[in-house]
Amino acid sequence: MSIMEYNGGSVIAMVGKDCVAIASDLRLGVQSLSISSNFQKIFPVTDRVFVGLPGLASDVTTLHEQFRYRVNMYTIKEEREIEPETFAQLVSSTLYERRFGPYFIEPVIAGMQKTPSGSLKPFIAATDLIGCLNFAKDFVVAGTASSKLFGVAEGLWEPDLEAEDLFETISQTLLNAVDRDAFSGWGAVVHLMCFFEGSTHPLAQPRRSSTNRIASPVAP
Amino acid sequence: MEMHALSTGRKPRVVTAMTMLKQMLFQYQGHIGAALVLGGVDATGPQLFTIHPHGSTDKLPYVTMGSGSLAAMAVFESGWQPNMTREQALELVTAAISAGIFNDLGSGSNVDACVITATQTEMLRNFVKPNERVQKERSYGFRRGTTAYKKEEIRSLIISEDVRPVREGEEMDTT
Amino acid sequence: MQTVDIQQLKSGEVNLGTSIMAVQFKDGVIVGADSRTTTGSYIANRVTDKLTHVHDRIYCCRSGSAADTQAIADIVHYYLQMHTQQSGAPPSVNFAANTFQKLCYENKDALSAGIIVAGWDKDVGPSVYNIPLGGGLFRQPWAIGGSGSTYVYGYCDATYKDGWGKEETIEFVKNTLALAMSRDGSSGGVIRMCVITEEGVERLFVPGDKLPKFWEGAEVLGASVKRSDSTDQTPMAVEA
Repeated sequence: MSIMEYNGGSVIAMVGKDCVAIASDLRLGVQSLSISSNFQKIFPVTDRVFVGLPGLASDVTTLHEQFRYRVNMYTIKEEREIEPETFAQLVSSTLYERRFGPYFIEPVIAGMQKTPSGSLKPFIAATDLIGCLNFAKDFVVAGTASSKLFGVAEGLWEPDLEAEDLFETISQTLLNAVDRDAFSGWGAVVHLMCFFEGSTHPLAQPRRSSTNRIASPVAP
Repeated sequence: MEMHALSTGRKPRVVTAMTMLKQMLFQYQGHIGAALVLGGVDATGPQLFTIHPHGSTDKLPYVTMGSGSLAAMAVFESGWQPNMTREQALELVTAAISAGIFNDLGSGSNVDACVITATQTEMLRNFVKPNERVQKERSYGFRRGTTAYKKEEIRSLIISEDVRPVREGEEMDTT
Repeated sequence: MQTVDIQQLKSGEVNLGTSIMAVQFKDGVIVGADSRTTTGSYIANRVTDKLTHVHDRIYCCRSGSAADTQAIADIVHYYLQMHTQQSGAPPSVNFAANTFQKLCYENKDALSAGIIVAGWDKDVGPSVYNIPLGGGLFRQPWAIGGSGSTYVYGYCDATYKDGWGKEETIEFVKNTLALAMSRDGSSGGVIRMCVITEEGVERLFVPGDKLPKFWEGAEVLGASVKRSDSTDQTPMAVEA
């Protein structure tokens, strides 16, 4: 009996052109018995950062609370919101603190990172259960369907996907991967963050905005 | 290491780093699974060490570590000679790592190298890239609208702000 | 019935498979060792120095776990330096051996270390101490240790004589180690020796292709044929 497979669940994050997406299934089980089809695994950290926590369900709650506490302390001390990369480092050190008695979670981080020029660029990262960071340029996967997600994502993902196309790519990757995993599935959720540069302001100055789009796709 | 150098007032030595690492790893009795190659130049000259997870160390003229170490050591054993030039050594190290990349399933992708001399250190990240991904032969992109969904929620977040300086060209007083 | 469970090496631990020995003679001691360290069947270091300096006239031969024996030797080295500074005189071999023994006995559940301590001091002249796995301490005129030693107890018993000089003792150590290294797969490489006398420490080295030779099965396999160095030998063709 593997603890990592006790409750099941999978998360994936992908990078697109000026956008990033993170998606998960909604199943909660006890080994092969499915309990819930509305179990949240992806949590907002700030307006621009999301974290996915696949793994042992009890640790999903514990870690979510732990991260909420530490991010709040960071926000108070620094008087600014945490950047995705900084949050990834926070996740890593939080997990390594428990090196010899780890939380059974493999977090996935997705967000829009501030650049020195003031615009936003997509950021994704994943860690193992003791906090070894993996900054990928294309996609990251985690959870019981991770091996299948790797295969499908490797086939479907391509560089510079527009937001709409990224939504289709991540949705189809997740849906088709969890269909071949007994411990994942039962619905899915996709979070999409985009970055637009427009001139909608009355003073005709360039404005920046970011959109979070939450969708619950069903199988085609 | 920085603290040690500051408290002794001397330039740090490679053996000092080696001793600190081996004592920490020995304390953890192999539970910290770190297998290290340590190299550097100090007052006593250039030197190389290997440090195993249980805290044992070896001092050798050429060293390899990790799952590809057997393949890399095979290259060293046939190609190493004393007093090599910088170019010869870099070429041999690249060949050794490449042997790991191609013959060991646990190693792969690119070759990183690092040249340390008494005066400077040069990090050669992705020094050789023998496994560049090629253009995919076919795209499997889905038509927009393929994925059906039950609910959509859109939030628009204006994140820019105009900062209008009250007075121009005045530096903050930091005295 | 209670069984004694001798602590085995932790998996993946670096092992000094080892043939080591130390022999007392008239004017001093000679310590000797092979040079092989292994992780499983892989030779991690083929030119290891298992003869470890712990004081000016005291050396130890290490066998068992590389990590454990290095850590112990480092600690003893530190103790002997402290002792010298505080008492103003070099430590006796007996003191060094007792320091090793204390560490090995008090931590015997966590350690796999078989150590031979040898050296010269003003009190008793040359002396050799054996500290096997459980942490016992035995003074002996000669001691052998490590996995290779089991093959050469008979040879040592049959050969050793009291009152040898330096050269005879060197030959004895060299021959014993060569025999042990040839039979024991966990031992091999080169022979390293140290001659420790009142005057100082002399290091000796026997390369792997200059080891003394004994019976090699010529009756069964035929005598070895000297390969000619002629250039007509071409390497085997392989596909590019």
